[in-house]
This record gives sequence, structure tokens and C-alpha cells, in this order.
Amino acid sequence: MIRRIFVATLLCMGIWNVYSNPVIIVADSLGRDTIQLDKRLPEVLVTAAESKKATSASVINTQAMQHLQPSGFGDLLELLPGGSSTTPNMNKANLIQIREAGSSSEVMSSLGVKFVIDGMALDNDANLQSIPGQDNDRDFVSKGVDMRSISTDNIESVEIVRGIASVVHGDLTSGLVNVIRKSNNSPFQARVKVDEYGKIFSAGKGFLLRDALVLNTDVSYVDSRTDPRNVVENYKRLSFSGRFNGDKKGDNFNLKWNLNMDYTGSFDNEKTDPEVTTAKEDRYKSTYNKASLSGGMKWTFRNAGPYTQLDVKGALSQSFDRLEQTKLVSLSRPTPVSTSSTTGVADGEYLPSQYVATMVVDGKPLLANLNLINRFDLNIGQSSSKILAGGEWAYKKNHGEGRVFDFTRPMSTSSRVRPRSYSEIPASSTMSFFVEENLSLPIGDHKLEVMAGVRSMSLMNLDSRFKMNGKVYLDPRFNLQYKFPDVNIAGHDVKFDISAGLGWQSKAPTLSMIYPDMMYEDIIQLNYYHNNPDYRKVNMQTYEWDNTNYDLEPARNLKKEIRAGASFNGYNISVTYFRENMNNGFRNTGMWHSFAYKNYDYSGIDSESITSAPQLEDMTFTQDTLMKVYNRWDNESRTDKEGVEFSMSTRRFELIKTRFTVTGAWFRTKVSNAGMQYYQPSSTVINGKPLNVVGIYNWENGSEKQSFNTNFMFDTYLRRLGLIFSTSLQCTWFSSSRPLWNDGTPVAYVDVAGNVHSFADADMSDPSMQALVQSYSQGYFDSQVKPFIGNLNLKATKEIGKSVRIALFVNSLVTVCPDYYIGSTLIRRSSAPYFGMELNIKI
Amino acid sequence: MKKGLLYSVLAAGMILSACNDDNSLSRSVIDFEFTLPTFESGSASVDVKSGKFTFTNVTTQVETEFDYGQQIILSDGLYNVKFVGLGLMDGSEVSVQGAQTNITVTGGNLNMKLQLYVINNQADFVIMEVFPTGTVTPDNKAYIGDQYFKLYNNSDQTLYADGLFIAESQFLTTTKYEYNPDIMEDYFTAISIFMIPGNGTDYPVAPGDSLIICDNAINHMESNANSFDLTGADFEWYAESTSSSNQDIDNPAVPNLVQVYKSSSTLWILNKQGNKAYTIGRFPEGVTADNYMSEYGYSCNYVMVTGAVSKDFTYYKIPNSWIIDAVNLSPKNTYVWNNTANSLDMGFTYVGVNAATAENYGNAVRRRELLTQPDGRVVLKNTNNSAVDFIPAYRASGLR
Repeated sequence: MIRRIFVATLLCMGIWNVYSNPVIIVADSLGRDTIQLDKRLPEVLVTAAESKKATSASVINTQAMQHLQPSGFGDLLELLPGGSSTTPNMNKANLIQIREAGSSSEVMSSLGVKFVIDGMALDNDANLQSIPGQDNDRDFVSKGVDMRSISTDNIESVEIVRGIASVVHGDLTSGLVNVIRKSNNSPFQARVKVDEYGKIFSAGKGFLLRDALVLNTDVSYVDSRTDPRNVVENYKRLSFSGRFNGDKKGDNFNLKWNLNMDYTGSFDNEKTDPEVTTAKEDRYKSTYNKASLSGGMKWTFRNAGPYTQLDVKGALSQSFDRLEQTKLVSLSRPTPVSTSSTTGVADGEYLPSQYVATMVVDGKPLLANLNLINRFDLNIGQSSSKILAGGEWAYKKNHGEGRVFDFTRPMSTSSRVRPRSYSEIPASSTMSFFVEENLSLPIGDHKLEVMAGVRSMSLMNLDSRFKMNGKVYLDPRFNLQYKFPDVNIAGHDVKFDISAGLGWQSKAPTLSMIYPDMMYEDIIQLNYYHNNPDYRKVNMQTYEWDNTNYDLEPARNLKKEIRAGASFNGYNISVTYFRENMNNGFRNTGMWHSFAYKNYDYSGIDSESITSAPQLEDMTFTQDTLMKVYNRWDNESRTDKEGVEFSMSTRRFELIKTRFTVTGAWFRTKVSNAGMQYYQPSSTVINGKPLNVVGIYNWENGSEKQSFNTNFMFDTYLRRLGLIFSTSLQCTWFSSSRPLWNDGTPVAYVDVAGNVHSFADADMSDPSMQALVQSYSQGYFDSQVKPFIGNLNLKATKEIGKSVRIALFVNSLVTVCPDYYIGSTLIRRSSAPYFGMELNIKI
Repeated sequence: MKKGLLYSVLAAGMILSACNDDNSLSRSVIDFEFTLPTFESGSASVDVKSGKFTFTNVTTQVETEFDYGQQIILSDGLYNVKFVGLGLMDGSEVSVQGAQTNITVTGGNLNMKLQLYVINNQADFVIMEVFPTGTVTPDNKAYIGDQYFKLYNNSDQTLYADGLFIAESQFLTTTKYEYNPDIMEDYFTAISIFMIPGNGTDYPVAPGDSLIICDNAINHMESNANSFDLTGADFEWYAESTSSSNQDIDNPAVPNLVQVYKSSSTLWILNKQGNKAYTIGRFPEGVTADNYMSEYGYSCNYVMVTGAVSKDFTYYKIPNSWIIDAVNLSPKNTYVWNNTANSLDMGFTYVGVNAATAENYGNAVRRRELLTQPDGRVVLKNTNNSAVDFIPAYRASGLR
């Protein structure tokens, strides 16, 4: 009885990976080898499948991805309920949003989604690649994962958990993206995709090195442009991956192990066109080079009683990030600059009228992660109970040189930034423990599945001033599924189940939120610009302060959902209702500061007769105070989500070889603030003086957005012709947005001395205080509703022989977008098709 | 006193549009009624004697002229119309003019009203030159610190510049919104108002003399070899900036204007695309730089391009009666509307035909010379119509 393990791959017409699993070959008593395989050809699925498990999730397999022809990972999101196709925008970070209406400006939208690739987190929390004060869509500090950096070509399947994730996964609020990459012996595959915005090349192969050892390798390269006509602004990505997967069989255990080596390089470039520009020096270049090593060992024990599995994973990644910007700064008036970077008074100097400013941001995030899971099986009576318990340690540190530049030659004269070394920022270290029970309890013909777990999170290596120091944050999570007995109708079983979930998911603040830059304010006390350069004098008061918010805590999202699912003879239907509330998301909100300074009066100096620069002692001064609102990170963002997601699919009708899928969702997302707002009407100057008060408002600063969409998809699979043809009609029935109401009146105000006064009606008549009152026109708070917009997308895949497949797609081939009125204004909408082709070769 | 006289221009009521087979363009006949402004003396009536209509097709920019009394027949379309003519008021001859933008000519026979104004020829200060575009550095970078105005005493006697204000319009001449309430017929809405200091007799200006009022009265050639020296300017506007990082520069040797109102929290930089209107004038008795803001707020909103109504904004307004001169600037190709009442300025002038600032650097607008008196004093043209009063795209005198 020699048993051997092979990896058998069964191909359908050489293309579709129908079956590729280790199969056990058993020699029977006559010495013949028998193989047991499920011989039915599986269904070709080009849409996302709704998970049958207790939590709502969408599963996207290789076929769906091949048919979708993605340019980047973000393209897969159109398969989620509520998703729709988008035209690539590769000149900015592609950020994810799950279960949200409209686009969001809150960092939590994307920061709260966790990406896991082959069991290891793709973490961006130690990324500090930004230039403060510059609003740049390309950077994604504290915004989670840039989906441009994820290649789709080596993915076996993706599960996007929209509901409540298992406690194995932490450090997330809204969702989980779980990517499983190919790990089997597979033929050489290459792909070339070309569309209006770029080109993709990829190639990969799985080698069977020896028994039970497979090496998967792949390489992919993306070169994309913002606009086909724009050659000076582009994004490139190059990635390599090598993955070993092996099995070892012992007397009492099976060991599965893997070792992954990855490299991803992302290159964002912008130059100014040398032929048209007036600023030849200006350029922006941002590169990310990341090398990572990860591995895991999973022992499955056979004779260890209830202890069934030990699963250990580890990962180490080092990224070399560099952002370089060069800018020719030309000033239109003499501008003073501070030469000091500590609190105090010092003479400043005038900037040259023209200079080249350079900045290098050098970041070297090092991430380490260890993950250990123990699994136990306990079967009592008919119930089966699978328990998992384990822990996870995550370490994040940035060793980079940081922002290196000359602050006396700033990129922008309004910038108050000083150089900062990133290696001085303490490491972030997070320890989590989790335990989860997965109970399956038959009740007669009924069946109850319970998934109940709790996960802890503690941030270590924190200064004792932090509120998070020494605290343990717990996330209990529950998912239940009740399966009703099958009912036989017309020879087919009807399966019906109801699921419900309730759980908390928490996300720790990122490195840049916990350890923000020091803040600086340089106030000009004297700006004496004499016609004679020798007699000029600038005196400045510099303030430096710590902008750390020691009260920062992890953002915590409460998720609730209920789902009903049914299937019958290949027909599936599923409807989910969910609510999510997060009252303490991260937001960069205003906090006031006031600074005393001297305002020197040089009117007593006779500019005609002086023979040297004036001395401060020769001038009188008035004591003055500057009051300003500065942003800092806090837990002020509040997001309430509600919605219904539905998906329905038919079986493939044999006569027309077509399957019909409907997915869609209604979402309502309300984003506002949790606390009081500090606001200073910056543009108000009363009698030449700024308004030195800050209003405190108890208003909801945010919006409520809604959208309702449905995608209808017909996919036809003509097996004999090797042709898959899909037509997708993506309808957004409406989308709306309304600002949240507020009366615009402050409840109180703070004066320069820091005293809080309540805002009385009498203050309304004071013209300087009036500026604190925001007034809104009638109709300002009305909901803006965009009516129906529908897009028709076509995709076709044709297999030529056994090894060549060509595919093409046209998105928005036809767009129906009726004109509509808002008030008396006619709004016309338009849309341009997005199309491309790809060639796949499999040898 | 309510209205002046209503006047009618005769026009035949023939409809040519439907029966013109060999020309597919529809045509319309227009009948104009003139309305005279309320502030003209009540008893006076103006009898329009002669003049010329100029219709500019907004789409094609083709101009069509009709003499007063001639039948006006136009192809259907969107037009701007101007009328410049002569009339009799109380037995003396006066110049009258009027304009209207964006009139829809369609539907055969039209009756339209056109408000006419009698040109006020009282000589005073006039805006001689506006230089908003700045210059370029030898490295081709924009330099806007050298913006200036030139005001000119167009009268035959010494005038005092004390208390004269300069204001820039809040709105853009290239973007039109329907403001509610619309007060433009009576007020000018300002984004910045600065005033010449003085007690009334501190700054005399002789007939034919001018004043240079600039942003920074410094030698700009220190920073930009392509600019010029403004240390000799009469005044500079020093803007009180609330931003510690964006402060104005003050030459202690040149007096500063008084800041009456400034919407910006930082500097007052003239719109360098040349999209704004500028006015000069004097506050009446009792209105000062200190109390102006408490009395002349203007709260309004407008319909945004999205169709939604904007927030309420508080702007500041200047009654037209305080204003002694006005000029509207707009790139010729992107002009939409005037930011002043037609009584102040009926046309517009431009620093450049296109909005692209790169081709307009160094360009100003300059008032035309009308005549030179026997004593050598030059009288500048002032018909309250910038389109004819100004030389557009004029190389700034500082650069000459």
C-alpha cells in the first residue's frame, strides 16, 4: 500500500484550471493505481461568487479575473455588490472603499480595509512618503494600501470579506481583502494587455521541483500614463515573486510549508514638458522598492487528541522609498525666511528672489510579523467544535533618513516644515491574541453554525503619556448561520439559510498619526525693507511645539448584518442588510494655538538718514498675539453606514449557454464629526487686523451620500467554440449627496488668552464676531440627486487552439445618462468608452 | 423722480424669417425702446438725435452696425448690443450711450428696451493705466510684485488725491452668476478697497499730472532684471496679512494706502489674468475707512454650476454715485459680462486677447489721449466706455 502524493492539474482545453490539487493515489489490493477525481466539469464563473459561509464575502476566482482583464487590483472591485467599472486613474494612489456610497475624503475608508496576501498583511502604516503641506494625490500616507502596487496576474483567488472577519484578522475596521496566490505546478503563462492608458506584461510558471515541492515564479510589469497623450507623467510597476510550497509527511503529522520571496517596485514620475514649460527644473519622482520574505509552516496532527493543527507564519519586509522633488521657486516680493528651528527670537533673512528648492524624503519601512494559530477539534455528540487560539505580533519601524532639505530654501514660502529624521521615530509594536470557536450543531435536520471569537490588541513601546499605553482593546465578533433542512421541489433540493453577525473591528493609528511632525510657526516681528540692502532687517519669533495627540485611540467599527440565502438547482440568491457605526475614526482636525510676539514700529526711524540697519532697541513695539487653528490627528471622524446588498445568479441555460447574474446594492453613508469643531474664518480682516478668536461649533461637519445600483450580467460560454462573451449593464438608479445641517452659529468662542466665552445673541451684532457665524442660503442643505446613469460593458474571450487566448473589452460602449435639472440649471453628463485588448499564451 | 422719457425707435414689423427660402438662416427685426436713467435731472428729457447700434454676435464675434433710425434686421442668435449717440437735453447736445449683453434674437419681431446714459463729462481723476499682469523673470517665471495703477488728473485745476479710493471687483468678468439680490445697477461689489490717506490737502495733483500707486514700491530689478524700479511711486498698498508666512513688504520711504476692506486674509494681488473691474472714487461725508464696513455689507448667494444654491456670502458694496471712474478688464475671447453698471462703464478693455497669462506678461491697459490743450495739457478720453477709451494690450509704461 504505497501511497504517493501528486499534484494533478486537469485542464479544460488547456486553459481553465479545472482541478489542481494534490491527489492521493492509492494502490489497491490488485496493485492497480486508482485516482478519485470529481469528473464533472465545473461551472465557468466570470463573476464574483457570494460566499456560503456565515459572514458576507465575495469570492473572485482566476477565471473571473481573466475575463475581467484587470489593469490593477482596483478593477476587481466592480464585481462586488454596489461596484461598477471605472476607467483607470494611475496618476494617483488607488484606494479601496467597501460598502460606501460616493467617494469619501475620510482616511478611514481605505485605511480600515486590510489586505492579506498568502496569509501575510500588506501593511502601509510605516509609510511616511509625503511632503507636508503639499496636497498630492500620489501619496497615501495613513491611507492604507495603494492598489496600484498589487499585481493580479499571480492570483488564484480573492476573498473580499464585507461582513465581520474572523478574529484571525485584526487591525482593520471596514473590510478584509484576502488574496491567495497560485501555488501549484502550472504551465508557462504570459499575458500582454494594452489599453488607452497603459501596457501590462506578465509571465509566470509553476515548477514541480521534486515530489511535493513546487516553485511558482512570476514577473509583471506595468507602464501606464495619466493620459495617452501625456508622456511626462507616468506610473510604472515591476514585480517579481518566487514561492516555494512543499509538503512533508511524518508518522503522526502532515507538514505544509511555504516560503515566499517578493519584490515590488513602484515608480511615480512627473516631469514638466521641456518644450512648453517655463520651469525646466520642476520634477517629481516617487519610488517604492519593497523586498519581502515570508513563510509559514502548518503541522496537521493525526494522533494528538483534540489538538489538530499548529500554524506558524512569519514575514519580514523592507521597503526603500524615496521621493524627490525639485522646484524652481520664483518670488514676486521680498520674502523673509526663518533661520531658526527652536522656539525663540532671531533675525531672519530675505529669500533670494529665485532659487531651486529640493526635497528628498527617504523612508525605509521595516515590517516584521509573526503569527501563530493553534487549532483544536472537539466533537461532542453530533456537534463539531473547531477552536482556534493564537497570537500575532506586528512590528513597524521606519529607518529612513527622513525629509532632507534646506528649510531656509523652502518649496513653498508658506511652508513651516523643518527636516526630520525618520529613524528617530520609535517603532510601533502591536501584540494581539485571539480565540475563536466554530461550532456546528445539528438540530434535527436543521443546522446551526456559530462563529464566536474575541481578539485583543495592545500597542506596546509607547510613551506612558499615551492613553493607549498599557491598554488592551478587545474586539468580540459573532457570526451565526442557521441552515434550514433541504426541501425537495421538482427533484431538486432547495437550500435556505439565514445568517446574522455582530462584531467590532479596530484599527490602530499609523506611525504618522502617533508620531506627527513637530509644528513650527515663524512670526515676523520686524520686516524693514530699506531701498539700501545694507539697511534691511528681519526679526522673527519662532515657536516649536509637539503636535502629538496623546489621547489618540484605535478606531473602532461596530458591524451588524443579517443575511438570507437560498439556492435551488443552480440558482442562487442572497440578500444582506448591514449597519456599521464608527464614532472614533481618525481625522485631521483643527486645534487652536495662540502665540505672543512683538510688533515693532519702525515709523520713528528716518529712512533717509540712517547709516546702518536699525536696531530693535531703537524701536517701540506693541505686544501682539497670533491665534491660529492647526490640524492634528484625533478620533473625530464618525461614519455611519447602512445598506442592502443583493446578488442573484441563475444556472447556465443550456439552450443559449448563458448565465444571468444580478448584483447590486443600496448604500447610505453618513460621514460627520464626533466632537466640537474649532474654526477660524481665516479670510476675515477687521480694520486691518485678523480676527483673533476661534469659534467653537457644535455642528455636524459632513455629508450623507446614497447610491443604489444594479449590475445585470449575461455571460455566454460556448465551450465548443472556446468563446466566452459577457454583456454587463451597470445601472446606477440614483446617487445623492447632501451636506449635514447646521445653523452656522458657534456655541462659544475662544479668545487669545485661551478663555472660552459662550456665544450670546448680542455677539451677532458685533461685526467682528459676526464673521464667526456661517450663513447658508435656502436650499443649501437640500439633497442633490443624480438620476439614472447606465453603462453597457462588453467583454469577449476567445480561445485559439490550446495555448492562445485573446480577449477584448469595451467599457461604457453605450452610456445612458439623461439630462436633469438642479433648480433651474440643466446638467448634462457624458462618458467616454474605455477599451483594450489582451493576449494570453499558455505553453 | 422716477423715469426719464421713453423713446422709441421705429422698426418695421415685417417677419422675414419664415418665407426666406434661399437662406436657411432665420432673421429677426428688432424694435428698440430707450430708457433713460433715474439719476438724470427729473425735468430733463433727452431727445436722441443720432447714433449707431453695434451688435456683436457672441458666438461668431461678427459685428453688425446700424445707424439710428435704420431698420434693424439680424440673423437669429445671441448678441451683445451697444448704442452710442447724440441727444438733446435741455437744449444742449449731450452724448448718450447704452449697452446690453447676451440678448437672444429669435422669433421674428422683437421689442427690446435699452437703458441709455448721458455721459458725464465733469473732469476729475481718471484711471490712466492698470498693470495687473506682472512681468517674467529672465528664467521665464512669473513675477507679479510690480503691479501698479496710474491715476491722472484729467481736469484743468489742481485736485487733491486725499481720500481717493481704488477698488477691485469681487466678481469676474469671465464668469457670470445670477446673484440674489442683484444690486449691480446701483452698486459696485468690491473684493478690495484701499484709500489714499491725507487730510484733504496733503496730496495735490496738478492738471495733467499722474500718480503711481503700486503694490511694492521697491526696485524690482533687484529680483527681476526684466522688471522696473518703482521706488519713485507715490503710494504703495501695504496689505495687513493674517498669515505669518505671507507678509507684504513695506518700503518705509513710500506712504502706504489705507486698507479699507480686503477679502483676502493675506495680500492684495490684482487678478493677473485681467478678469476684473477697477473703480476709483471718494467716500461721501460721514463715511470713513473705519465705519465703511459696518454700513455697506452685501449678503447674497448665487446659483452654482451644479444647479444648487451657494452658501450666503457677505461682500461689500460701493454705491455707484461715489465712483468717479471705472474700467472693466477681460481677455477678449473669454469676456462674459461687466462687473459694473453700464452707467459707469459700457464696454471692456483687455490686457490680452486670450486668457493665457504667458502671452500677456508686461501688458497693461492705457487710457487714450483725446486732445492736447494749447498749454500742453493732455486730455484723456473718458466716455464711460472702456472699449473705446482704452488702448488694450498696451506695453506697460514702466517697461517703456
